[in-house]
Amino acid sequence: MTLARLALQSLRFYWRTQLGVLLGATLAAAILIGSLAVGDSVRHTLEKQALARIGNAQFALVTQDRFFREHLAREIADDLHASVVPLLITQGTVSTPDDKHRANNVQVVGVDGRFFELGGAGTNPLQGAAGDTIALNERLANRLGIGIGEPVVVRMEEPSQVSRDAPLSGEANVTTALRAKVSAVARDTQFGRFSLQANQVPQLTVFIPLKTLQQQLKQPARVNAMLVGASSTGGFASLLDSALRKHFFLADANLELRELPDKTSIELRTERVFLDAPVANPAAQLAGNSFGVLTYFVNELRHGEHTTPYSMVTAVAPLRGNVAPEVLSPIPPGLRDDEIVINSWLADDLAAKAGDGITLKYFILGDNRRIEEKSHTFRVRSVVPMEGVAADPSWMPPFPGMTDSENCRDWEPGIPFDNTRIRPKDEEYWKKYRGTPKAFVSLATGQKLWSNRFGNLTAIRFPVSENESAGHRTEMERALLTKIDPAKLGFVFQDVREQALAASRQSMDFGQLFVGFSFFLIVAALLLTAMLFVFNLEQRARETGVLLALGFTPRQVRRALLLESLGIATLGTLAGIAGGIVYTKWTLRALATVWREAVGGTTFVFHIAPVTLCIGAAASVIAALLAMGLAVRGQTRRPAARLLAAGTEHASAPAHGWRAALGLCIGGASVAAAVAMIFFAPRGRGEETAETFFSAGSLLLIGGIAFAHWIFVRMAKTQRIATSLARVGVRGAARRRGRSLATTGVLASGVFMVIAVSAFRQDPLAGSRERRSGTGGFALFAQSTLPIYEDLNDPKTRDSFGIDGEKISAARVVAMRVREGDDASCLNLNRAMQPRLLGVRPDELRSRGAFTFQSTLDKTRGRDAWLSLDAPPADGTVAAVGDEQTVRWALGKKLGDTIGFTDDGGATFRVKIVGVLAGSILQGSLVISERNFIARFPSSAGCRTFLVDAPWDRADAVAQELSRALRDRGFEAVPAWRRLADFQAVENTYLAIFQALGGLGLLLGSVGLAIVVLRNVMERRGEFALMQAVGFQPRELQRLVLGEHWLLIALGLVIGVIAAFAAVLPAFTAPGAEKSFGGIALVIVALALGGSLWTWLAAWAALRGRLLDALRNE
Amino acid sequence: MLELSHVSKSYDADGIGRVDVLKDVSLRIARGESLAIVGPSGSGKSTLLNIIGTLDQPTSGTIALDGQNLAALSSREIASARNRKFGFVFQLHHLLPQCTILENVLLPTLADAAPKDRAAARERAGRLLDRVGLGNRKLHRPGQLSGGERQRAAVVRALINQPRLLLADEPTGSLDRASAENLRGLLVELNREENVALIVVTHSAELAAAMARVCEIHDGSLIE
Repeated sequence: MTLARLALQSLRFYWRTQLGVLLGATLAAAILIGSLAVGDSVRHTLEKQALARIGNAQFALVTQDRFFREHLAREIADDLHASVVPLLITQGTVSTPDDKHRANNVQVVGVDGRFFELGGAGTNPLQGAAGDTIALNERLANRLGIGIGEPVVVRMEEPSQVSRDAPLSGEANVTTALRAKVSAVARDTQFGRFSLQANQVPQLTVFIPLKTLQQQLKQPARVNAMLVGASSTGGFASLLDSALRKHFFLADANLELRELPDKTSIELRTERVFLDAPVANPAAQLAGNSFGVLTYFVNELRHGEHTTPYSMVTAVAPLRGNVAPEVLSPIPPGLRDDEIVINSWLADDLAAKAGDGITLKYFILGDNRRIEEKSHTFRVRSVVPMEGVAADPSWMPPFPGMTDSENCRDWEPGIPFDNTRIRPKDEEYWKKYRGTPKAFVSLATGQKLWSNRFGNLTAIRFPVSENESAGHRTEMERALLTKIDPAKLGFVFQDVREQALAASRQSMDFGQLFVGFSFFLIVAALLLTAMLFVFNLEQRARETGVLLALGFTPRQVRRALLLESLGIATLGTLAGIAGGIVYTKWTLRALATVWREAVGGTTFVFHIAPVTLCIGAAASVIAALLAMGLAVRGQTRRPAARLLAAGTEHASAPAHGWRAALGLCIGGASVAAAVAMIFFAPRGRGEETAETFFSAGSLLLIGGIAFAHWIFVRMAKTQRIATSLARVGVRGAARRRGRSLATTGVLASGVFMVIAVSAFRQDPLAGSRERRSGTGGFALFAQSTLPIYEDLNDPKTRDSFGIDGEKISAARVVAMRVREGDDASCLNLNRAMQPRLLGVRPDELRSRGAFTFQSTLDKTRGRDAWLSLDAPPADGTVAAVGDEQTVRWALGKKLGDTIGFTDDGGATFRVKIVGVLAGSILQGSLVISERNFIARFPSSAGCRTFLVDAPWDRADAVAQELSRALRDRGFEAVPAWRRLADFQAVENTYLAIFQALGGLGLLLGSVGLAIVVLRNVMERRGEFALMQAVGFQPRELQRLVLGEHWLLIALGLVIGVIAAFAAVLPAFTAPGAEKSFGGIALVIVALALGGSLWTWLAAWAALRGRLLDALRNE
Repeated sequence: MLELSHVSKSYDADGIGRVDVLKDVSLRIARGESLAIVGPSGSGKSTLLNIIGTLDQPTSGTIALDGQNLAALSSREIASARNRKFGFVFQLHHLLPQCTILENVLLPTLADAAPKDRAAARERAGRLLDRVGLGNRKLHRPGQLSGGERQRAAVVRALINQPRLLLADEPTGSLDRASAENLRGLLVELNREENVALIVVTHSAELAAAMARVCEIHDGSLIE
């Protein structure tokens, strides 16, 4: 005989009475293990999806608007014996020819067979397809509702090597449309999920044969992305970088090193017009006698009444201080900054001579391609003849829309251009001299007037002597390539496989989430376990007494009972594993159906990792053991004599006076602290305020329960004579104080939880017109597939797009730049590693007082917190503002944290979160100032996200008009409240899940209540029999029991309601809060009725039959 | 062997005030001696027995066993004393229904006995069960025994650790006449054979008469 054997014997002997305990333990284990398995299933599914979207790719290089040689991929592949796939990726819209069905924000990917091979597709959906056939991925096909063989129109922006934000970048808004037939629908298994962004929702994607897309976008043999297959070679990343450098040509950087026709120099120029700093700086160092060139297009040159329209003016000077030989530059030595050299053609046209003043008028491009005309007056230093270097047309860079034009009248310089000003002599000049500048100024002056964020040189010239070999250019190219770092031009291989896996691994932990959601249910199950175990122990109190009387120490008795508990916990957990699997499957099914909004409609596959199973099982055993352990502890602390006398007493031991006093003190202190917290809490909608009020509510709950204890003690001690049956009933509530307190406490906590959660439900329409609400007071939220470069508030822009100015006259647009990244909203389950960035002019939001800051790093700024986006940071970071959901959940960050990004120059910079917005339509992105945005991403042009102020009664009309007029840009405007509703639907669904599981917990709690009532009444059957014997009717006895327990229910409800309303006061008063008092009242009534029903059923069950027999049995 | 000096026990009852259960009780009992404590219900008999057996504490006064003041012992030492020096027999047998009779008898040895002593305990249990006529019921459960047999098993359990003092609280209170007589004889014999002091609280005049000494408690005071 050992203690273990004793425990085993007890377990076997009392198996019937322990069944309830076992059931409670099983339930708790099933919910806990099941919740953790939900987390495993979500992670597993996301990981599978992550791998499905990148296929077998390990690295990806995406250069956005910089197009490089397709052959570069082949060269790297041959060098490394790896799979390197060239891609052309752009954005577009896809519609049916009749435009009845349209999808915006479509990823357009130019691919060949290598792509599908890398994706492990097995077959190439585009294999053997004609040039005008394409493949849609499943989601896009479903969105458009079309199938194989049907025609579609793909609209894309014709790419330009020059940023559309750059001056003289040519005509913006040039779209190209490809009409093609759908030859295949690429399934997930056919790499149809391909995307480099971490999101469980597949991107809308159209796959086009690479050659077709290159042709359509006028980028023959060029691509802007590469995928590299996984390799087991050690240090593969650095091998890849080396191979890139080795095969990197100037053409890949859109550079050209050309010998000038007069053989006097070699010129470095770029299709991008302006030389990027990472190119210009090392190039300038290449030779000691190089000189820089900046050629600009001016609107007018004026001398008195004489004017010459639309001409090139070149600024030129040696880059390293040496004076350029006359043969290379028409600039004479010592040219002052206010002096200009003009050619003889211009001198004749303007009737100007040395010493005369000439005024230049020219445009510079402000933000949103806002044109500003400036002027500058020079004094003519000299007039040069139209010969030699002064008659060299190659000073003009390849301005899009101009260089290849036959006539000046056909120019499309991308700035306001009045071709009626072009005179026949101007056409003759163009025909004879092309872009030969008509004037020259110093480089310093030219850069002062015309430099911009894209560069301050259009060429660098390297003089060569006649005797230098013809191979000099090749040598220079080689030398230049050694100095240019491809990474600084955006040629960076990203480990997309690692990023994808990290995004899924670090995704929202649904395991934790569901453990949290099910917490009340688990606690209720454990309480039930503990309560039933206590009842069992109470039945076996004499046994405990005997053991103590026989000389067992309380610890030994505890150990014996704990061993028995361990057996129950283990058995319960084993059964719970099976239950957990059912719970997980049920939850996954609910997530795919009724709770689908929480996960964006993703269907999860059941999966449970052995380690999770072990953790869940161990946690379940420990939790059940703890619950039963508390019961055991209480039992073994009772004196042996009292335990031996058990069965004759059905009431708690008289409470010491100090216990009642302690309860009163705790209650008083908690309530006082809660009131103080509410009184002194900061006002607003900050997290701090919400936490303060929630803490105050929790304190009120504790205080209320402490007061309930005090009331029970007082009732037990009262010496007033009960003058009615009701009073006797009320007195009965104080008999078993522990049970009464547990009943009241569980009910109060349940009510607290239900009301508190209800208050956090959001109504997107409530307060949505207020500036401080989640819509920012904006009527519309809009996004465009292709950037919009112009200011949509400008009447001229509205005219140019054919927008009916009348319809949107009162609308004002706040445009934001977009740097694509991961969707950091609650709609994305993956961890957003590199969130999308928005660039906004902070004053546009500050002046409107838009949105509400939940917290800011600089507490002194308040509503001016937007301005901190432009404040120079002390630590070199870029200030950002993010929505609470974005910062806290999608990014897993907090105020003051930083996130690393890579800028256009390949340099890493950190974005610091300086403000957190309360739930808003800006969810999903981090917002930085436009100034910082442009500084970090100079090549990113135009805006793609818009907040629109419009009269509320005309918001729909404005949305329709903008969407119609800008349809070719893939513009789509929706009411701001609807976007907010999409986000809130997720939150509200989470709350619904919490309430559903919490409701189940309450149901379980009410089962506990029924058991308590049943137990209370069963224990006192003899007493009731006696009352019946002395003349009470069974109905009166039932009323007695009901009165006793209704008091507990009422007490629990009152405490819970008061505490909950205090806790959620700020949430209720916040804009957007759903003030559903009716719903809450319904819940409270349902709880009261449910509790009463259980009580009535229990009382009926316990009091039925021949009660008087109990007298004899006793 | 056992000496109670001026032992009193009182408690505060709600609405009634202070209730004195025992008043200045002094008592001595020698090794192998037998004593019956009688008195009306509520007179404090069981309380006195519980105090002697360390199941309850006196409000004042001392209890010494073999010259050792029990009040000075730690809770562990008290448990050990209860296990080694006292044996309890209650009105209800309090046998564990999930264990066999033998296991019930051996139960006290789990509390404080070294594993090496357990074989000896088992042998002693067998001998004692044979002695009380339960040798063939060792592996039966309490539910399979009659009331008298259960109570005899409870007596054997009380004696398994060879206590110095056997405390019996109404041992025959729940038995029929024949079983009560049987148990009475057994207690007297074991008192003699095992040389264990015996204190019996009882309403039974026959059982009291079988003891060497009889004391009566009246209104909390002990009169011999």
